[in-house]
Amino acid sequence: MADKIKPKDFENLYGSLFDNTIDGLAYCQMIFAAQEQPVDFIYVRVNKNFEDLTGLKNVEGKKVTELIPGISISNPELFETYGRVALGGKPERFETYVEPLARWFLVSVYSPQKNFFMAVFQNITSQKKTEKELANAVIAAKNVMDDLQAEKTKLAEANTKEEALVKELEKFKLAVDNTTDNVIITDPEGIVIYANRSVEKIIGYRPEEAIGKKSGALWKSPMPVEYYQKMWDTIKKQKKTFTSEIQNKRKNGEVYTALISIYPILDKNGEIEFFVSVERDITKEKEVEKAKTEFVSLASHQLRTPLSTINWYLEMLMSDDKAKLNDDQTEYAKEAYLASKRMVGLVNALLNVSRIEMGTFIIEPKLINIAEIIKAVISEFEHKSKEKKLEVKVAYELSVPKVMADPKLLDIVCQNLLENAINYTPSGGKIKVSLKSKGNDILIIVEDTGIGIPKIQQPMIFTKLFRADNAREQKTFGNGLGLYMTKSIVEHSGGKIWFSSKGGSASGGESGTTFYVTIPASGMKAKTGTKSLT
Amino acid sequence: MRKILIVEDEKPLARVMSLKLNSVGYQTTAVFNGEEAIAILAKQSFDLVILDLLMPKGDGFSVLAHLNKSGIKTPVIVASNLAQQEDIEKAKKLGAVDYFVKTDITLVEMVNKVKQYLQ
Repeated sequence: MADKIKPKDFENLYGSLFDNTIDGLAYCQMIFAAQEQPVDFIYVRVNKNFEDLTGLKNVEGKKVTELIPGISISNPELFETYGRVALGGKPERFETYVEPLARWFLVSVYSPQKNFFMAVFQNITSQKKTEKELANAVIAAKNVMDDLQAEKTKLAEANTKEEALVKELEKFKLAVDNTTDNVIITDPEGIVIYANRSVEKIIGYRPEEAIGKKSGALWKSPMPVEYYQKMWDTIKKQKKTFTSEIQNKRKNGEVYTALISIYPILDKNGEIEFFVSVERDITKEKEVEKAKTEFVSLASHQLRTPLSTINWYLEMLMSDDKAKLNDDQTEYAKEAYLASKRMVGLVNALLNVSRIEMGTFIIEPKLINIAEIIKAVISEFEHKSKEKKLEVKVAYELSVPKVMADPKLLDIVCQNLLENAINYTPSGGKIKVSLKSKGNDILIIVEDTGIGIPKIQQPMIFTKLFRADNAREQKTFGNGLGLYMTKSIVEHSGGKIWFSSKGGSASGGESGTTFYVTIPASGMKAKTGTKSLT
Repeated sequence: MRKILIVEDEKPLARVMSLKLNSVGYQTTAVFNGEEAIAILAKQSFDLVILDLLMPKGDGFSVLAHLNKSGIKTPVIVASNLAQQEDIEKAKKLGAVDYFVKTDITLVEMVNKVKQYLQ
């Protein structure tokens, strides 16, 4: 067909192609300044789509700088490229953004003749937009990925932390699970939510059995209702720790003794979240303790029996009605009798010391007149003090009130102090017992003109079984328990004991010792226990 | 003559108490455990019982409980070497009129106590 087309037809054909192609076409003449500097161009001819693509109208014959003001600033490279091509350069293809039009173009440019160029445009703004969006999307995606990665890292870290925490908790749980104490955690209503393995050992319930049950239902405790009222009041109302010794029943009905400590765990608002109960089975310890006290009681009974036999037969031997002993024999019997009496004293003292040390002794204060106790003790030793020709004086302040004190214990205290004074004061010496009020205390003072306590041994004088050298040298009877016991009694009942002594020497001389004992005017501290001192 | 029952497992002690009480004019019978005491109290009457606490075959507390149950009103003095307050209180609760620790008193003091309850 081509050979049938005439040159004129070509012109029409090209003309229609030029006009109807979807690309924008612009045939332009380049304008140069001096030294072939491209500064502007004139649209010679453009097709229809050029107007659509650029949004410019009636452009033919006009300069681009008129049509798009600011283009030479926004797109200086456009002029350079067109100029280069118009001056006979090779065709070029580029993408450009024309800011004043806010459009992206793909431009192909060639020069059909010098100083002229043909530019073929495609509007690629939407493509660019898509690209940009894509790029943005990629960036966004990347950011998301980065965030994800960061999250992942964080999560991994958190996991590690959590794992560590879990591990740490596991460690604690393992420790609590296996501790020998019975540990139970309940909700605020007392429903068991955790029980360790010792619960099975001590009470007899497996942890699975205990969980979900009301804690009280686990034990058929023989404790009175008031005990539980006090317990709930402490842990629920006062929100404090409740500690006590308790009798509980095992699953098999056996009663056991335990040391129990229950405390509430509070949340941020101070509301009870959990109760934790830690219980220690002390049944065995109690049995041992009981066996110990029983042993001491029984041992002292067994020791006393032959001693009473010795005492009473010696008494028979020495009594005028039956015995026909000569003076020497009477003296020997007397020595044996005194030794036996000392042995009785020692047995009683040992029993008392064991009760003091085991904390089983009772302090039962009653309203008493201390002066009367002192009087009774003095008369108890009257025989002995007369024998030694000691002058025993008393000085009671009339203002000293009656006081709550355990008469038995006060008796032991006064006996020990007076007996020491008598034992360690040489014949003809003086003893003075005073009773005074001083501040919040009642003061008992036992003063003697005896051998005194050597300075260097004074710090040891209250030590169990200790006896000062000069006391030993005097060969005076003593078991080294009296002052130890006295101090224990005084201190347990809230008082104080001290002494002053000028030193003393084995040869005797003017030394003297003064013991001071205070009893709070408010009374001795009561103490519950199982045994009283004798 | 006033009759005293001595219940004491330690024979030398029973003997020395008897000797002393006889010497001041009392008639004494000694048995060596709680069961014997309950048996003899069922057959004979006494003016006073001196009772030990720790003995084989029926301790002093069981004797006191038996006397209570059978309505025997004979006064009982406990003579024990148990010196604990709770033993003293327990014995007195079961009806003992007096309690002494043997190592803590002389025979003369023991006789004086007996006299106190036999006047």
